[in-house]
Amino acid sequence: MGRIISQKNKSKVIRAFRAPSAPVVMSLMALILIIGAPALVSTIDDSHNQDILVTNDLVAADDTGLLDSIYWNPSAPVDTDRTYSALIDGNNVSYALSSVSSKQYVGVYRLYNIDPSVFSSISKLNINTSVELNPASRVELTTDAGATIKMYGFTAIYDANNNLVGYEKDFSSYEKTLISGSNIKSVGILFQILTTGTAPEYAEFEINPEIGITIPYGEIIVGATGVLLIVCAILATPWVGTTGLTIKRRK
Amino acid sequence: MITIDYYGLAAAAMATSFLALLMLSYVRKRTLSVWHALTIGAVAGFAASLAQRYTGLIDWLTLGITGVSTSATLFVVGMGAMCAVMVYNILATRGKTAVR
Repeated sequence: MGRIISQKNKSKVIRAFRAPSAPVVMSLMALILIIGAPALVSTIDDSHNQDILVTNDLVAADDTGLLDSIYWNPSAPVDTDRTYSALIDGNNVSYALSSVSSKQYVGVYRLYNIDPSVFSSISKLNINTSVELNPASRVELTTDAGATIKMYGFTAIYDANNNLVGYEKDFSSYEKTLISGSNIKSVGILFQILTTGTAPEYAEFEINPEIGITIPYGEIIVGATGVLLIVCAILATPWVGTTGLTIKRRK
Repeated sequence: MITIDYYGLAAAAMATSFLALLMLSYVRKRTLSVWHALTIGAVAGFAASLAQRYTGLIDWLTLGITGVSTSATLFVVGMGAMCAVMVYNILATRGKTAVR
């Protein structure tokens, strides 16, 4: 009698805690892998696993040298004096407008044709300047095919007296993979003025690409997830299960 | 002029298809009307855009499709294999199950 009761209880327990079916487990696992891996990668802060070794000098991508330009605001009158002089000295670049009145029409200071090797293994881009920049300021990569890849995310740095001393940009795992893997022809940096009319008559930028060794956790996680997904796909076929091959024998 | 990123578009389509197939594996109803397919597609597309917003899923898929990163390519191959197996199972079982 006692045995019968215990069996009944056992079957009740089994019914209450019934394991989910294989399709449910498999599809949930696939979902977790697909969404979970990029989510995990996006939360990784590479600044904890990188050593900054050296600050690279800016080098031109070809014989034409480092190039500069200014994008003028579309509202600038036709007769605006658009002449300026730029001086590129090592990692310092400065722009001096010929006419004081034209500073209200400056939109973007641009430095381009930088050799992509300067940015390989980059950890952080440090820019010392007192010019107030817009969040649209960015690093632009030009590929061999002529496509442009834009990377935003300049963060302002202030000193103890709350004065602006510059900006820095940390590169995410995705951006580092993009820089190292894409066929990049040249790199440019665009300094977009905060609001129209706030550009100074003389603007100076010290650009320091900080190079370091970073363990590519992002790529490792994504690659390992890919392998796991292939295993999941094999297990989801009718021929292979977790207990082995399930091929029916012919009589 | 609007520039279309075909690789990004392919990655978005892949993410949406994958999520739609997963949703389909939970649908027990055998006859699937156009309205079911549209609803599943819309919800899957919304889920894919949410995943992109918070995880950058489509960015990694684009890297894999363009062959920029070997790891990302493995990820795309794994996802493609899972999609292919689910489609095969749906066809082989006449819509009964996507994963078995």
